[in-house]
Amino acid sequence: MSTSRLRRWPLKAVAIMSLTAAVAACGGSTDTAEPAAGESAADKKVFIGFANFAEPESPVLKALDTGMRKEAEKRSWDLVVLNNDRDGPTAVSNAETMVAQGVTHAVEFQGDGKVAPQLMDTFNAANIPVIAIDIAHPGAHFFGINNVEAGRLSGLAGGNHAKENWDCKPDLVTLLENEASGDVALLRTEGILKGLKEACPDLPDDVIQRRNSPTTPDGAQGVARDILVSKPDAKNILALGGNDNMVIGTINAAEQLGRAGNVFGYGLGADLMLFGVDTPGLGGSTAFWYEGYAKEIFKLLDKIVAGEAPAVVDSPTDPNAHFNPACQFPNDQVKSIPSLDQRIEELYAGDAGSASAAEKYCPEGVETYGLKG
Amino acid sequence: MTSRPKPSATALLSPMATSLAFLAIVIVCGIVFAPSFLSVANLASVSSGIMAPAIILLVACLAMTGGVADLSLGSVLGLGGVVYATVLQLSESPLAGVAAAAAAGVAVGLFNSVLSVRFHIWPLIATLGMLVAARGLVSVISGGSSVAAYTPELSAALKTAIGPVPVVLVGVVVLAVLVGWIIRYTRWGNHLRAVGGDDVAARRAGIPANRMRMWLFVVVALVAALAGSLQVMRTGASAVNLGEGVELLVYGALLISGYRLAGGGRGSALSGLVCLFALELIRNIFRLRGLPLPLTDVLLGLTLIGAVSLDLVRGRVRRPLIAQPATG
Amino acid sequence: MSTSGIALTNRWARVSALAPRGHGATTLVLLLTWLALVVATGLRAPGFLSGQTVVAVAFNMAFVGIMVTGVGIVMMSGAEFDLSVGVTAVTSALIVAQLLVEGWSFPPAMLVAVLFGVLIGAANAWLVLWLGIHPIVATLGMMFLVSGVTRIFVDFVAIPRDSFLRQQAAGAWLGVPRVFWVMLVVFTIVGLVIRSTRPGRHLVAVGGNAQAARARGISPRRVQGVAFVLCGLCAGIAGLVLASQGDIVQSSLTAGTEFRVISILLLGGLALTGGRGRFSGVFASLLLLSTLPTAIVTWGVSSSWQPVIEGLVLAVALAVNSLREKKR
Repeated sequence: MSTSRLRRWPLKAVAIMSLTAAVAACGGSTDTAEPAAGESAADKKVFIGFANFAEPESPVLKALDTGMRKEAEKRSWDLVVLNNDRDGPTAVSNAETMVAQGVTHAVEFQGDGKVAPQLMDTFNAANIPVIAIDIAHPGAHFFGINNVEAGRLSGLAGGNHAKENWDCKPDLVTLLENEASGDVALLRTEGILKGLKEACPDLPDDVIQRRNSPTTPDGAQGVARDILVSKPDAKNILALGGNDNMVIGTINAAEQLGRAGNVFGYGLGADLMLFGVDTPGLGGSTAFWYEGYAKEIFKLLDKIVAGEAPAVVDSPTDPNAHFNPACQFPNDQVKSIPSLDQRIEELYAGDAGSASAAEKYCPEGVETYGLKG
Repeated sequence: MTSRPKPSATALLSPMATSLAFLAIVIVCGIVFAPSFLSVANLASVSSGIMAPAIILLVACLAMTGGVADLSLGSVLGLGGVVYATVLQLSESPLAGVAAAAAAGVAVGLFNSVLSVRFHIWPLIATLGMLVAARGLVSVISGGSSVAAYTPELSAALKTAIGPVPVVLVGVVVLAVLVGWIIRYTRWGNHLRAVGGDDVAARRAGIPANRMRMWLFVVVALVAALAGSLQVMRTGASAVNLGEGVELLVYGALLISGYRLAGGGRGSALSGLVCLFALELIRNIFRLRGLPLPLTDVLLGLTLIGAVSLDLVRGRVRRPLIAQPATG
Repeated sequence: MSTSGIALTNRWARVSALAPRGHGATTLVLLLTWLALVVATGLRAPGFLSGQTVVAVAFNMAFVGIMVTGVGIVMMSGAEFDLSVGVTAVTSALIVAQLLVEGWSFPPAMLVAVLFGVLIGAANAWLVLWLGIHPIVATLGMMFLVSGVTRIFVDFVAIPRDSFLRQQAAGAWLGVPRVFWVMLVVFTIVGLVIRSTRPGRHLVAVGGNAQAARARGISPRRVQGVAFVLCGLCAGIAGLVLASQGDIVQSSLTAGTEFRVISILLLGGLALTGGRGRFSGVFASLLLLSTLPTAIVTWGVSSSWQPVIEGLVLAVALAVNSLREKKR
């Protein structure tokens, strides 16, 4: 049997089919508004460029994506959506793409503060106002979660549990973070530590095990298992981390090791908890209400487009910055609020009021951040 | 093959022709589905965005002609980037940064070459370890975050354009022609092709195959590290995942343009470049259309399988049914 | 070859004398290394020598171990790797989780998930053996296809806690998690079949020398095809194990999983070209590389070093592997 006996028909078929399919996929349908090519600059139709943090795979990014599209549609503005792929350099090239496409306003969501100056140079050169989500970009309107404060809410919830039940003496505090996520991860960790110390000022540093972890459930489980094994005598365990996945992974790891009895976890982002991932031991999670982002962003855009020229506040530590309100959300109240799809429906319906997601859905009596009143 | 294809059919299936056809189809799709894609600014952005991959592709062409396929290229690009950025921050001298990145590249190249050539391990496998190790080193050096290294002058210089054509694109094309010339018309290029085509025959003809391969590993890693520092100069910061997947893009383009993983093949530097450009344009069209990026993965998968089948249709891969990598 | 080359050759001859002789020796060296690691870590932190560590290491071994078994069959048969095994496992896990959410009972859901693995295995076999595409390219293409398509449709699935899968598979037997026993059973059956049955010997014969096997009336294509299908089957089972471990299955695979699988096989002494090596060695290397991350935490080394160490381990494994091949 030699090469000459290789049947060539199926080969040709596969070659042609794959290449055709590959090329045809480029033309796949999508609901992105495509700016008309021939439009002259004089029309000055509002054209928003939105670069999302990553592929909208996770519900939070999907919610943001949906919200942006719905709000743009409502105002019949053009919108182009790009993907920063969790990567600074990609964000820079996306910024160039947006400028190239002639956007009039840019909404930038990328996690790498270090490329921000470079990115802003690109936009400034084209005189495009920018709203930067979650990460400070010098000269851009900051909008979003205060990662430090959000982390603080989770740290505080965990610290308070430790205070009430363990007299501020947990045997172990696991703190997972995903280094590849850049500044977001570092700021959240900073906040978690801040909140913890607020509740338990005398908490010794050596009970806190801070570790880099993949964002996948099995990856986080592995990292958490290894930490737990390195502290075999730890009973009262506080599980914290940069997102829900890591905290739930830690609780699952403790279950695998037969040590789930005294684990208390408090998530961050509530992206999994609000989807009904009900893990015993998960006390709650700090809800970001990402689905409400687009609404708040467009309120700001309305002002800019109307020529009100709101002052640019680019620092997330400035109290005048535009924050999306966040709040602690106890696990046992998850069932009391509508599903994400319904929440999006409610928030972006044609007759929806101006109430933010946090105002609508945060329960009574929890710690909040950025909620007025 | 029992029947020889007619000359016209051969021409149609030649690497350059298929590469150009591939590019043409992509461009037509772009024009139809994303009109703004043709704008000068967009094309300039795409072409300067592929600067680093294109440079790596050219040197990977050289190496592949000599039978060296280095999987660690993307990680070495990241390593070069982070070394450049770190040294730049410490010394405030871009030159020192580039020198350090080059040194890192040479060190990695030497490691790969010793492992592969001295221990007779198929290059693709020998460099697997470095793929992971160099990526790990990026995290170790940067402490797991990105490193700022914004030098406005250098960044602006890399973005200059003559009319609508970015300077870097001109540079890359000149390099491609140069690489093509080296492979086809120089003595060294001849030796290289002999080494890639048939190791034993090359050795009998007195060509120092092993020494050439060792050089190839070092040159490839060196250039990858330099491309990494160029990339950082352009974007202003190194990221932990800088260059991740570049190896797949580059080897995908080379395979589509008719190179063979086992060494040799009949692609050319220019046809490889054309394919790389086409692949990048596909990504660009996806971005402009807001299509889900996993679809790019599906596409890359289909294109890889499709391209290699096409190569087999050309009847050039005389691979026995069971793979026998060149283990020396 | 130049004089310096000859001098080097002599030096390797001396180095290669240090390389373990035979495959029993590989297993022994690996087990001794493992023992040294455990003792050293135990001395440093006495708490390390506990049932907790056993459970943690058993979990580390289970999911990866089943994939190692599958790819081991493929490697043994001389068809090199299956790079798609990880994403296939993830997709199987998502399938079983989704079906359970929709209220299916466990047996049919399990069957569908495992069948999916078999299907992907068969597709790989077709691409590699019937179309003649190089296994690395074909399975890489398949990896992109499967993961891309999956990620377009699903992000994550929460597995119901009261499902049979979570209730039963998550438990322990003799203090060791059930998923570990599943892995051990799969691993042992495959190891025994390859070592002491007729089909197993055929597999080894094909991997060792396809021409000779063909002369003895064994069809390499059929044997390797079965190997790919079995590998897909293992991926399906690995998916079930993954789904049983936690509350969520996500559509992305932890980066570097495929790499770890290949490292374990090569370190365990399976020959890259197929036909040589023992599953006992693979088990020892699985044990060693699964204990390493758990031990490393106790040593207080930054986890960023882990990929660096793993990459170097693979490089050493490759070098030893090649020295052993040279002696034949």
